[in-house]
Amino acid sequence: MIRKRILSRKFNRRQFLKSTAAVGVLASTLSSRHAFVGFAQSDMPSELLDAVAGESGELNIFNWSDYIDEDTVPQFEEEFGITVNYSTYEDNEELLAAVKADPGAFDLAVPTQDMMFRMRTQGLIQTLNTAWLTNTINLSAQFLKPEWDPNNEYFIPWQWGTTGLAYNSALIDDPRTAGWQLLFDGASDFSGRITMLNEKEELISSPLKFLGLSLNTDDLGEIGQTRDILLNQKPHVSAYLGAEVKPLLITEDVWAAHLWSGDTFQAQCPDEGGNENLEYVIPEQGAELWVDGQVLLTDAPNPATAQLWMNFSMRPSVNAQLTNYVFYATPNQASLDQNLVDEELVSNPSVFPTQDILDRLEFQLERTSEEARQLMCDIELDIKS
Amino acid sequence: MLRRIAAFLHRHPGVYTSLMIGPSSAVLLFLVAVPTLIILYFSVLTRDSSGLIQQVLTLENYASLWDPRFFWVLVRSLALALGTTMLCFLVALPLAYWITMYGGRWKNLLIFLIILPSWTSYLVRVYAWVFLLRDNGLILNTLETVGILAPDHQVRLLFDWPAVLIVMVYSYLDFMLIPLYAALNRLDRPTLEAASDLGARPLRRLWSITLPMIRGGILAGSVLVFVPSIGEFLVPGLMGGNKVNMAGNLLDWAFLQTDNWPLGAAMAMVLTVIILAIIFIYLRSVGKQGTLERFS
Amino acid sequence: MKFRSWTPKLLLIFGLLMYVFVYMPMVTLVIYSFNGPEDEERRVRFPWIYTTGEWHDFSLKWYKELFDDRDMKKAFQNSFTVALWSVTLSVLLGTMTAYTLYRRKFWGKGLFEQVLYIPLFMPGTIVGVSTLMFFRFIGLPRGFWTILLAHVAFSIPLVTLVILARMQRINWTLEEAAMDLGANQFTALRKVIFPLLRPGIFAAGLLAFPWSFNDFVITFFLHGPKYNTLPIMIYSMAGRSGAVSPVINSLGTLILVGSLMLIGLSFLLQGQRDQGKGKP
Repeated sequence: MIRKRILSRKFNRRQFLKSTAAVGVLASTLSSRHAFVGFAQSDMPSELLDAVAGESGELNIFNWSDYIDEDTVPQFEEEFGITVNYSTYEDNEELLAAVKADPGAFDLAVPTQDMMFRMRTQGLIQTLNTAWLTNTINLSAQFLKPEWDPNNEYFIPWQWGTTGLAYNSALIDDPRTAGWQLLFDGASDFSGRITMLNEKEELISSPLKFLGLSLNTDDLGEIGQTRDILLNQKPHVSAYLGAEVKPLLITEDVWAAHLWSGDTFQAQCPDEGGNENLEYVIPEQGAELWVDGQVLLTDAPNPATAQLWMNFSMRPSVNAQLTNYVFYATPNQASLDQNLVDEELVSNPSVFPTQDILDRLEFQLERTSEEARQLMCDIELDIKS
Repeated sequence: MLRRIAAFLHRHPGVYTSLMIGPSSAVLLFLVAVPTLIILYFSVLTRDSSGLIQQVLTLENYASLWDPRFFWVLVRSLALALGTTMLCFLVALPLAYWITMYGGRWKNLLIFLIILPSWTSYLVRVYAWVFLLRDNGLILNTLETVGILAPDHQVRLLFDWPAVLIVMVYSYLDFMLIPLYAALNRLDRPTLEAASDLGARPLRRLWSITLPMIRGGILAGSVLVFVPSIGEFLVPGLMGGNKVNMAGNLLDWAFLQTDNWPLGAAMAMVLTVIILAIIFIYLRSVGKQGTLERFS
Repeated sequence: MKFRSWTPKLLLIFGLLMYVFVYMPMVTLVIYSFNGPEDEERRVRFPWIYTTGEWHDFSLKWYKELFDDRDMKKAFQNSFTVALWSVTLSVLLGTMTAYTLYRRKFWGKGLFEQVLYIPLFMPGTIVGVSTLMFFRFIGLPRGFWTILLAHVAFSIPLVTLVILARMQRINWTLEEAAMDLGANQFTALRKVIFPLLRPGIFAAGLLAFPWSFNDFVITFFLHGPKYNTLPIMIYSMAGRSGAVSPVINSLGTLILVGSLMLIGLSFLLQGQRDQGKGKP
């Protein structure tokens, strides 16, 4: 009953934008979040709660920055009486370096699926107690028993998204905006106005996709082709950035960027002072699909509490709240089925791609060939030196 | 009691000396010498294909540094660090001179006002520069409005070496200004004035009288600016858009981006040796004795 | 003759331009700290958008948020604590070192001196990485102690240098005279040498404190997950959004205004003292 009422009050971004009265609705949603306390405890197995009770009452989370709703942590702290230490990182490599440098500092982290492989190979993560993670049933089919974690025993998805193109439709009126050709063929036409992502895997995936190749290729010849493309493009690239490009997209210093879906929507968000002219495109040749997931670190001081958090994050309401805030896609089918995600996001094919778009997308899997990895490092060095 | 200790220490100056420098020696030993040895050790270890470090000794890491790309990054770092040092000097000298000569009773205040911004976070100020230097930012827009730049100019500051240089000069100006000011301030004004009364031409006076007298300040300032600028990774990354990378970025790349600690350790060793060599040669050629006492 | 008439003017213009250069980022920081949504109560998802260029409305929202921001307060406190301890320890040890180096001869002095200055010649990245490896080796978890120790190690040479410079200008016969008059070396140090050194110590602290408070590079490698300093926090807040949060701008403004007031006050006090003494 209570839950129904909250759902009906769930704020919709468009309404929020249009009417100032929505602010009041938002405020009441916030204050009524206390209503959650008590009702949902049943989704946590008592065995898990007992194990949590035997731990320190703290939880050390290591997550990407700007990747959580402001209310999620307080909600968890309040419901379970846990103190959360929340730290952030900027990219997967930083995460890996930090976890290796400081074993035992964190309980859980949120790597992207391909980083998860590397962490697993290096013995940095441990298996989960699947009996405790009852909310796994809420996950979408795509994330239940995926090929990178067939038993759902390492990786609990947090949010997923795509890596594509952001461009300013007021400044660029060009048919090439349909795909990667904008950034590669069009580089000289928009010289100094385009940016590329800084991370090696992302940087090399885009020319691979531009060439119509698989981004998981181990073929040295295919990977080698990206070197020329990237080097030819380099004189015209304004900068190799991560999400730092967002403000520059807003101020129109950068016209087109190689960027992640959710970050583009954040920069677009007009009710927050973003730039409405920004568009996000999943390139026609295909693009990278990724999912960030929670892993339990090997030296986690509070393994049970970490899994309590994971199970909590798979509650339909909690994960929908994340999606509504960060504009990435929820891996939680129940959130969608229960209409907890903003209509505007659900109906946007750039956030939740339709099946025919999904067919063009590809997850980055573990790259097994050492030669291929070496080559990628070498290409990156060419770009960065 | 204290008197007895004092007497004891007076009789045993060796003990006194050890007590005085013991703590800092320990700090230096454990936080400088030992870590350097650890880096040295890591630089000859092997990294296996899964990224784990194996205790197998090798010189492979040093060999792989023999690569034109590393060389050019090193050259760029040296050029930018030297450029930063020289610009800092060229800018700080007139400023320090002006403050010393004409600052009057406001001298110290004027110096403080220059240092003051460094009390707020370096990162915040660096990010502020991104927005000043960008294409539609304050600086280029003003230059356009005033008419110095044509409306269709192609000048770009951000994400190229000018931005890196500007912000590095901005960041390290203090390190040059303070030693120069201290050195100039130490000179008595009559000396400086006498020189001009003797009819010495300004540049000659500067070259042959003032500069030699403040040599210590110049030495200290240039070393204090050069070293952090050569290892800088935040400014080239942010202002150079990760295109104008310097040695510090490569360290970051090796340690954090590619997770190759042995390679990073080898880079760190090579870089340290190069820096020490440059400073040694510099101090040798400019300072008479080459010892670091010349600093002060 | 001609030279003397235009040089001061030229220098004045140049000096003023330098102040513009130094204060330009500060001014934008101050201005943007007041840029916010008209409705101060409104929840803003992406505060960084308010520092990216466009002017929205005059707002005190970020100042209000600053005082409610638990994490920010903690990070500020941490930075302050580290800087205070680091300056205290390094000034103490640095003064002792400088005194010994200047006044005593001892075995291995040459080597000691060479090693002493090495941290000044090592880029922060290398210092950070190498001390991190060392702390891992001895099993000291990252946090307050790792940051503090590295900051002390880096500050000692800096402090020693500044104080050595001051020592060269001290009339050391005073110490000998005091000791001839029966003072032991502690008393001589405290009563005679220390007051003469005070400006040097003050200058050293003034260099070392902001350095430690604002150090990013070394701390980046050594901070623990539960121990963030302000620069680290700013870095992680700004890293993914590309712009500093306006809350940080408001903090920066407060620090700027605070230090301006502090310096203004000290000059006023000094002015009064000088007047009391007559012309300096």
